[in-house]
Amino acid sequence: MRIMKRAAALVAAVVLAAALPACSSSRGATADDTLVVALPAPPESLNPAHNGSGAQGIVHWLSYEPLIRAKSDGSFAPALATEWGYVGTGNTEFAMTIRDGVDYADGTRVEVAHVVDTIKYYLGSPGPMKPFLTGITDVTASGRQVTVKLSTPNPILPYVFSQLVNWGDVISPAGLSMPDRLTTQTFGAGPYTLDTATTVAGDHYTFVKNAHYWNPSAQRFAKVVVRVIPDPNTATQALASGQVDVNLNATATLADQARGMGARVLEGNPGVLALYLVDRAGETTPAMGDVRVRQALNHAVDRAAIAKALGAGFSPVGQIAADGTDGYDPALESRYPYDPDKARSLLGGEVRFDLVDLLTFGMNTASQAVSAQLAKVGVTATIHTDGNDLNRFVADLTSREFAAVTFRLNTPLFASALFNITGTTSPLNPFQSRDPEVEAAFHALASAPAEGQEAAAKAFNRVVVEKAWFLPVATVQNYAFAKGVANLGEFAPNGALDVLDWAPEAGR
Amino acid sequence: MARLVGGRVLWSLPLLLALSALTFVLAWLTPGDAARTILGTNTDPVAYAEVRARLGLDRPLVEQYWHWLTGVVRGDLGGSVFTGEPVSAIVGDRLPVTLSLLGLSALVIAAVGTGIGLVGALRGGLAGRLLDGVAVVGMSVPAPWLGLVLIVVFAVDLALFPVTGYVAFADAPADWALSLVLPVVCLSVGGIAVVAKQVRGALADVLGRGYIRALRANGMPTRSVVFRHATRNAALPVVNVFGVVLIGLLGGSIVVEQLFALPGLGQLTVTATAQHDLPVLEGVVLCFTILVVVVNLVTDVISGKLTPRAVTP
Repeated sequence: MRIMKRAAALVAAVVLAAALPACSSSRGATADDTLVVALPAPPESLNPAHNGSGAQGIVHWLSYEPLIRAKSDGSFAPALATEWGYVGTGNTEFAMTIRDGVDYADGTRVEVAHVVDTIKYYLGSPGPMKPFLTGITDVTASGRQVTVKLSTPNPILPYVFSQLVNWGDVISPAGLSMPDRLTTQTFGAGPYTLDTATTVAGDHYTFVKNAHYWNPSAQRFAKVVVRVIPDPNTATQALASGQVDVNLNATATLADQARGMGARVLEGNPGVLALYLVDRAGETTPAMGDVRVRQALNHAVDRAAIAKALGAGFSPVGQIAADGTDGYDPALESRYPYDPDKARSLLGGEVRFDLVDLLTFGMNTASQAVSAQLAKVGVTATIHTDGNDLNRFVADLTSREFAAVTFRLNTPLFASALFNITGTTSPLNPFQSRDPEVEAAFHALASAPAEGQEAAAKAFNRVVVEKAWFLPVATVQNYAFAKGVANLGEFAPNGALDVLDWAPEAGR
Repeated sequence: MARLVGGRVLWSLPLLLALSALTFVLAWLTPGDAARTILGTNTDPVAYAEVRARLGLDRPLVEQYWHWLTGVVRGDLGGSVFTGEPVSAIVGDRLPVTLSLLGLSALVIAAVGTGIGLVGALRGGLAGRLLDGVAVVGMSVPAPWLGLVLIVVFAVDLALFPVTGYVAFADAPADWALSLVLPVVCLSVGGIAVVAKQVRGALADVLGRGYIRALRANGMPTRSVVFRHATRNAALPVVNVFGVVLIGLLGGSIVVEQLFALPGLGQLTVTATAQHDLPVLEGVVLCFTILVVVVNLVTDVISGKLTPRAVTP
């Protein structure tokens, strides 16, 4: 009987817990002066040298002042650097004038020498964004000016030294002297600083105002909490309930639902979903070395039908630059119209190849759809899926067992060209493809002056489309949902979310 | 009883060794490693080799395991590959969340499952069959779907509970309870169904035995027959099944913690696995293994109390 009484007491406790809501609010900690942002996954590291790109970078956008601030419309604005530009011609020397009178969150002054030390630290610290520093040979300071010299041209250094790529995030001497602490604390001069006492790494990151920030008008919230909510449905419901203000774990399939609950939907910054036909010399799949075969594969795919099947947020595309991004050429869209008969005649027989992909971003769905259409013209594409395991994916890519890979990228065309098309260390170029025409077009792009960049990007794009190095399938939009937040800005190609412009909406 | 506890604890040591070694081997067999996670997809082989060497990943697997194991013996679980934080601190931060979730779920399963099972066994007929049906549905409902339904109805539409997150008991006991209501319900439904079915079956079986009929024939009140005699004899299989259900909750907690964004060991498991953060993963496995050992031990002790013959050869 005693056991039964204890059991009854436990039941009563559980019932009490269930009844508690009646006398308590469920909104949680989201006060009007607190911005809560949902992320799909934790940042790879709090150390800017080791973090990747994408929404996870928000922990750095808040806490480190970049040299150059990328805006949501794709333009750049002064931050720690007041002026910047290439010196001379050829894009091999870049100079920045560093703002005076700026302090780190720890109260020490930002010195020009720290900018040099930070860039040198990044050069010596391997990380996922390291390839963006390719070619930098020297960094020097003179007066308020920092000069970066390169052995090979790089026309996108404003992008590289913005918050989008982390390399503009200047670290204080305290941080540089104790690099191990960069993974658990922040050492920047940004508007906010990490409150380690109220942060649980991997779950939520709390940022409080940097009392020494040089531009206090950009500190529109007293506190910013970045929360990891892995399930996109849950994240959207958290937005609906008011527990979250901005949901960066947003997908196309949830956009209508978000609009229905009164949220503002930011759509943009498209990436291109494509099959990278990587065995371009036909080393393991001889047929793939024939440009006519690669062109045939492009003719065999009904992109419009696939994009429709993939659902909201997807649009057909016939090139590796999405509409609105640098190098996009509308004329290339008609280069490989859907024409199975022409595909069969170009193929001249049966073709088999192996393809590897991931489940994320609709990659596997696209692979399946392309494979089904290729089968109609006598091409057998055997798909190997690595789930969501990027490690396994990279290992499979570098094994050189797969003639094609489905992937989605949304970096500037030059970056794609540098890493994944002409670069020899990228897993997306495992067979280290070389082609004189592609290399000439890349060199022209790399060294083109600002006013000639777009034409050079289009020319490069045209060469790789003509040689059918890819089988582009669809563009896919990125999304962010928000409620109760004003000044959201836009989501332009290669732009950054205007986190510092976000402000509490009147009456929220 | 002391011999029983001592024996079980001794037996847990090889189990811990075997599981930790298995985790090492499985992690080793998985393509990729922490160095690749740190460096990303675009990297040159020299940098990759350097990072592997710095992390000790270039050493033979046995050597890596031995290094980890000797550290554990000294009480050092190592540090996270990505943050450098001690694994013991990381796991220690997450453990209360998972223990809260599991503990409350166990209580709910025990109370509700037993209650439903008792009603089913005592009422029989249509009510019993109805409960059987409810139990089957409970076992069949996928936790992610149920969780989303609970969120939409109780957190968004009715605004009774938070959608996500966890509040520490020490910070705000009421908010702690609120933050766990939906995850506990989501995690418990399957277990309630299993326990209810087991209680109903075991009790119905006991109630049909001769000595129960004799007690009733002697005029003993039904309440006494059921609660003083029948339940005690029916409890042994129920306790054993309950132990299995609790161990099953460990796996379920990974899904539920992901769904409700609870910073527990389940969420940590997913992150550590995805990042190939082996020291953290080993720490979590160690912790889960100890939980399994404790659950089994408690189950054995309770079984021993109920039926001494069950634990003495």
